[in-house]
Amino acid sequence: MSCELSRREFVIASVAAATAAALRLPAYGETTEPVEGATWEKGVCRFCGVGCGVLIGVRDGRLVAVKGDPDNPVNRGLLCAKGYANAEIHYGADRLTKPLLRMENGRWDPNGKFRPVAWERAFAEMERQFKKTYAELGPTGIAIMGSGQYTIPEGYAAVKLLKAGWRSNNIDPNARHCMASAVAAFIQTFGIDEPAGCYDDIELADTIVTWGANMAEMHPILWSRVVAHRMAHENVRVINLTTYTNRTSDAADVEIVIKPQSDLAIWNYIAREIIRRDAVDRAFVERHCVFATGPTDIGYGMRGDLKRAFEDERDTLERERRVRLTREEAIAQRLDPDDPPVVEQKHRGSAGAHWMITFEQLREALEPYTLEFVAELARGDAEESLEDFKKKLELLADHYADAARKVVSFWTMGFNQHTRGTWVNEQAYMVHLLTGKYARPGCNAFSLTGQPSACGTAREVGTFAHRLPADMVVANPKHRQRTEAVWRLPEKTLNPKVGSHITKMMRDIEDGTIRWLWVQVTNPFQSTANANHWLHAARERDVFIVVSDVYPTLSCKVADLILPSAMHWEKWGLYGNTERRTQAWRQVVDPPGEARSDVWQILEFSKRFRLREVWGRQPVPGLEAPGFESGVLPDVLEQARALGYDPDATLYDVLFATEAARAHAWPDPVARGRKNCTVEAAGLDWFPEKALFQEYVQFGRGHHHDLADFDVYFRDDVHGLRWPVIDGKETRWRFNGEYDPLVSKDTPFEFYGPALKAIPRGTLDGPTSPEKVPLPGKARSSSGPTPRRRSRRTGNTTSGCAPAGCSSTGTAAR
Amino acid sequence: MTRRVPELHRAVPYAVIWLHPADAKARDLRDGDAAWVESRRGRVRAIVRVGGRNRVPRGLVFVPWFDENILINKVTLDATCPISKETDFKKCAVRVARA
Repeated sequence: MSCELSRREFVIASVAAATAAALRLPAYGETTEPVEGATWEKGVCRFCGVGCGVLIGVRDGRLVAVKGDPDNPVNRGLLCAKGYANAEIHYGADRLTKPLLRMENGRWDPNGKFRPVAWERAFAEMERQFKKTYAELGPTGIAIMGSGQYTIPEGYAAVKLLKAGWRSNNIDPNARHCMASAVAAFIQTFGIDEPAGCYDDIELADTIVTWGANMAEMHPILWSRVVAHRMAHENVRVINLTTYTNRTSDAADVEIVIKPQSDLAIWNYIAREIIRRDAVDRAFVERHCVFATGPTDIGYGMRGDLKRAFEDERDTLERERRVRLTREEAIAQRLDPDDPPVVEQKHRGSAGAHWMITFEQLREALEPYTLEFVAELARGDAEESLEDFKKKLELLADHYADAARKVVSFWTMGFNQHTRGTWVNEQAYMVHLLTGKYARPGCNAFSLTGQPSACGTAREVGTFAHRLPADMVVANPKHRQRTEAVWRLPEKTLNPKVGSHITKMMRDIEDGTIRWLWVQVTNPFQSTANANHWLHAARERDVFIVVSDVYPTLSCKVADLILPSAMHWEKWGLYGNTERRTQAWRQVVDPPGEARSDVWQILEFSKRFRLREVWGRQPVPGLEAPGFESGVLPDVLEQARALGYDPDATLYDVLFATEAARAHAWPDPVARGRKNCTVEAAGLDWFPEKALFQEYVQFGRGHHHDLADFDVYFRDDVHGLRWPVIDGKETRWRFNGEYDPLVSKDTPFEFYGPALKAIPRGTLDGPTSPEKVPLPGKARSSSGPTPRRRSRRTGNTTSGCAPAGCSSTGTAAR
Repeated sequence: MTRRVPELHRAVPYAVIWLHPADAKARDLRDGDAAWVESRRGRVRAIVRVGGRNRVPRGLVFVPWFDENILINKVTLDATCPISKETDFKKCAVRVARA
């Protein structure tokens, strides 16, 4: 125990040191003392998904001070080192302040040098290039890359312009790289995105387990809450599963160093133990869950051909189509370990298929995941004895299996950035659902996001290639119909064919099938894997790239046109954090030079398109949907006329400056005299950010995503609200009848998410009937797929990461 | 982007390659030496760090991605989860050698 004492002393020392460091930081103003003459505004930090409340001080038109908002329940007055930079980040020496176009002899030239141009000239070139590509390739030839740094109005405006105006689905956020696996598993398991619980679970938990999440450095304010809770309660334990020792390990009671990708096998071991020890919460599982599994021969999301492959990567890419299983994979799939087969990856196109299995089949699927098997597979540090590692795995299982302990599992990119990321998320739910440790105070399985509005904008607004607002999807005819009704669009304006996800957009640029790209609030040429391909493609292929940003990033360097954007406190906005909390801020300073808000850029550019240019017949290669001619979007101009639209009206008129939008007058009392750079630059007498938000909330209300009105989020006594907001009240634990008013009266829990709520029955080997069984109100516990054919990750890898031959088993508890 | 804030930039001025002491020694590398990290797809040159805020097990190399001058995404693999289409940045085979 002396060892533990010294660890706790160390924790105290590091927390003290971190605090001192933070207090020294604000060279920029004061963090604790009032700044003379400054006025203060409440808002939210922009640096990560935690969503800390920030008070920002402004004097003489300049941000001069930052402090944590003591009344905000997320951070209770604390900020991390980055949070204190909320003001200073606006004033870097190389802020972009003018549009820059690559030019030679006064004309755009892809090999020219960047020259400052007027906005009019910038938009004219952007329009010319867009229309050339659109005429040649139709809606699939153009694309927008966004991110979880979009404010809610920005993301909503971008989606509406692209999906309703240009009839394309090629919009995808950087958030795809960050939490798409969490989303897919939420939808698969609960039929609705985002966590059941919230940050309040930290202080209510007995055990907090971090899986591939270095919270101490990546989510430091939440980590400070974890550490404070641990230090104040003798019985609380923190366990860090990680692939290397990091600062989160420093404050953990137990560190478990695992081999990359072996998390899948560890979850199955825990689930096996829970069943073996008879620790299943039978009442909960029988009433609220079903079990499911899916195919394992699903490939690795790489290109399925070799046409653009570097010589050296051909062998890697060949694994996309067929893989020889490892010995461990063969064991996990109950095949002959001495003769592991080569498996054709036949289900690459239907990787997400699920079917129901029984509890007995789940037990059978988990059987290979014994302590011995998993310990051999998962031990990450060869210098640790196998016996010691086994003890740690047993201890981990003890915590999950103990009915008396409330457990929170946190994860981030170590988990989500994973060739079986959806499975591993589903497995976390499997374990939490088997033990009934979900949607209850102190019990949570929680994916922490990296960007400030990955949840609020990317996910909830739906700035994805397959999504529409409020968890709807373009492939569903009812969802398109509802969206067309809210947006007042002719029937079949929306494109039913899912667009390209962000990595595929890069591949499409390399293939020449996307030739016009607008990058907003993100830096994809730095953040996309295998960057040599995309950097070359950006400069060598026939593609016109526009990047809107605040600083010259690597993506700006490979662009044709750079547009200077307003930054955080220079515009109005709302973000949604990881615990479903929507927060807002007012513009407090002007953007520098000619920098403009992203909302202004989207609205202004939309003025350059007339309905007859985009709502005629459009080719969409590969489009196959009931009611649509193969490969074609219909001409909807006649119907548009019937709706009262003139074919010469612009997309600005039809999508943005609608009568309802213009009813939100500017100036608005909610502004309390603060300015709006969008309004000023566009010369408006209405309030676009509010109009966009008030239109957007119509999608979620009555559809499990209820948000409050715009003005509510700006009230002094409101520090964000966690949706669903029903009768003005936020919801802390969804699906739990005690806390969630959307749960039916006659049941303690209801997993009411409507998506994918019917699946066929099957066995561990596949579905046995095509008929789908409805599962109202249930969670589908799936832990990734079952024994037959389980796959390991791709990559020939390692000097580091040994490819773990892991397998999980599929079960999904609903 | 946060590198525009001097206090933040000074705290972590550039990306490094974290190596286990034995792996470093086997390649004749010491803390502070320059090395190449190379995969089938690309390579970057950076300073080796042995220990410090991250301690990696033997056989594992870790390089962060914030530094555009050490663009580790030239090295990483664009495999994704086939269901979610989320990229698996976290793992790929590399070779480490003195620069």
